[in-house]
Amino acid sequence: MNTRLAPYLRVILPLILQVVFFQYVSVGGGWWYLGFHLLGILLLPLQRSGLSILLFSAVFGAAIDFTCHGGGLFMSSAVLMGLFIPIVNRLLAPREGYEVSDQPTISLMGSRWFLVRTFLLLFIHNTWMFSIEAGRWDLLLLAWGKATASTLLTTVIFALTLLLTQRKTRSR
Amino acid sequence: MRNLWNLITQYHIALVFFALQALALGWFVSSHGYPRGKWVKQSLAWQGAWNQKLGQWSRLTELDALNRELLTENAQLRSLVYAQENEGRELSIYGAQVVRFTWTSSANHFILDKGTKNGLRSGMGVSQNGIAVGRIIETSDAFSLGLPIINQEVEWSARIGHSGPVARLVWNAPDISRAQLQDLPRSATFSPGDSIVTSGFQGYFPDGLLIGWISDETPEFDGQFLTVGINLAADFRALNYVETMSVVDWESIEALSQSTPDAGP
Repeated sequence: MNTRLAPYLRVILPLILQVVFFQYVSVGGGWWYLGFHLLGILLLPLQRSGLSILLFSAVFGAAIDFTCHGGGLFMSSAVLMGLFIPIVNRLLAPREGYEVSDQPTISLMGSRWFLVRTFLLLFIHNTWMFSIEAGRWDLLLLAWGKATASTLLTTVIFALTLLLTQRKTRSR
Repeated sequence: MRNLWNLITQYHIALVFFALQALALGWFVSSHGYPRGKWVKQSLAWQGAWNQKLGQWSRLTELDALNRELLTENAQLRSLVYAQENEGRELSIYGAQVVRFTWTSSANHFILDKGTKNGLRSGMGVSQNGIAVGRIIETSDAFSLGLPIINQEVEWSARIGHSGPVARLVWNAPDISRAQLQDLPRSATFSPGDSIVTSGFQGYFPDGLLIGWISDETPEFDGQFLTVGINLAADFRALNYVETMSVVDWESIEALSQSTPDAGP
């Protein structure tokens, strides 16, 4: 694959897959929401500014809202996750900081870094999304249960996807 | 001025975040949790076409074509039967296929493969095998978007049996097999297993279409009214071929209703 195009494809492809296929996936009676477009946001380069991550997240979320009739729900959740991406990146930064060539993938940053980062960010996204979607206080506990289950399963799926699709390179 | 500019540049991410959140949540709140508006029509046209393609790929036998023919024929027969049973009052019924249905959210919706060019319009009721399922809220040329009974943003007018009292039917997420009949007079007499049917007051459905049955839960008292649990008749996980309907003379009824002295401007 052309190395210049790869970073863009890595971000856009999950969004296309979500719109075309994964929006129809309904597993476990709503207990597992697979937001595959979120993988695209999570794979935005580490050097991206907080502002551009926010804007990317908003566009991705709005695209899903537009195609899945979410009415702003996915945009709101993606924007919240986008706000936390630089914060979580700073929290998990190696002692010597990130290198210019670092990318947020398992092959470059290691599986532990990827799993913790993905879990934290997806948890923020899913908790917000399921809570708003619940619409009633008495459904909040159920919503948080769904958010936790979805986060765990989606983190595993994202890790497997990267393990299966990315070349093995050095791990930090 | 310089201080204001410094403040904006210092907190620009927070400002953009709040602006985007306001936009997204404003969108969500203005749509009352379910999609409507101009953008829905465009989205519906694209998504409906894609959903239909996906559906075509998955259809491996000619059984589907046969089902469609039967659906159309069934719709015509139901129209005739209704007209005969109701002294000439007409009911337009059209067959359609569900190309998308969500049942895991609290604001569920469905998409049908027929639109305005097939005679469908917003406000039509949707049923499956004589059981009320939902209503259409938006149509494009070739597709329609609808809200099922299992959407907690909408209410339905329902009656106990064919001559019992009328009450509001609402769905409380997340159980898709149960709903509640609210504002029922305390004097109402009923037993578990009694059928709940459409009242016909809202104009989406004719009267007498089955919605479900009274469950064996103890009714809740709320002042002068009762709230009763309902077991819904429709199997929302198995929706496929449905019928859309509208009472043909509903516009005349609405016009009469508007012309009464109490009716507002």
